[in-house]
Amino acid sequence: MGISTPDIDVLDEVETEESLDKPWNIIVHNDPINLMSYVTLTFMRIFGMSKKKAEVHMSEVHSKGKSLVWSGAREQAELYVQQLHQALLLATMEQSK
Amino acid sequence: MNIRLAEDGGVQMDDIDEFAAMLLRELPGIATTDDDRANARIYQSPTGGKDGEIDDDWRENVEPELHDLFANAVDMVVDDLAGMKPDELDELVLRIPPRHLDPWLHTLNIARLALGEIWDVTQEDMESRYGSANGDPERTMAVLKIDFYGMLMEFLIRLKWDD
Repeated sequence: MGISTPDIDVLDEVETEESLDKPWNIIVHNDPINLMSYVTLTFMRIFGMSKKKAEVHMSEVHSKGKSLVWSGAREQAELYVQQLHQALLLATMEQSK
Repeated sequence: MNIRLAEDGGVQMDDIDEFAAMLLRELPGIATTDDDRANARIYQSPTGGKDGEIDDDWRENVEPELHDLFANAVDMVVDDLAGMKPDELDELVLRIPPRHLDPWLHTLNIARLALGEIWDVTQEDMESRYGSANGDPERTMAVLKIDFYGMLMEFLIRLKWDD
């Protein structure tokens, strides 16, 4: 009787579901050209951040080279990255490990 | 050159000198450069090249929208620059309608980023008092343009969006 085969199938499904559930991170990277005021304004307009929070992320980008600005579902991450690219910020998305 | 908020909620630049006018007229050409490095910066990979599937999908579906957005923005800037004319005091005046402010931000920023890529401008250049860390006159001119367009962006942001 093939008892072990269904178990293997179930394990594969669990792994896939876990992979889908992992959030996507949006990272904004530093570049020498974009203005600090413009980066702050862009964070406020796209993510609805307060000016204070937007400035914290902007400072992190400037001082540490990058800042994780948002985490969540892939579809929303793609929309946010598109908006960041419209604003010409250096931005990437990656799935959490 | 004076920059102020206009009565209609747009922005007006008065008393524009010839040098500033020249830099303004150069803006659309710089923002539509066909330089590969500039375009690689303007049309970025969403994954930094780490996920070919997402990157391919992006190139197919998102990049055309970005091309349209940026081309429309530059067209609006071209229209506004066509209206840059002397006033009754023979001083050049440029009016930017309210709905053109975001397109101006886009175009100024595209031009700055393009110049930055073409001339390989560094943080050191941007922080140098002399416009370019290595003293090359053409590069110094590129950094000066980046600074000038950046100054205009700062004014637009302060006039329209800063509390």
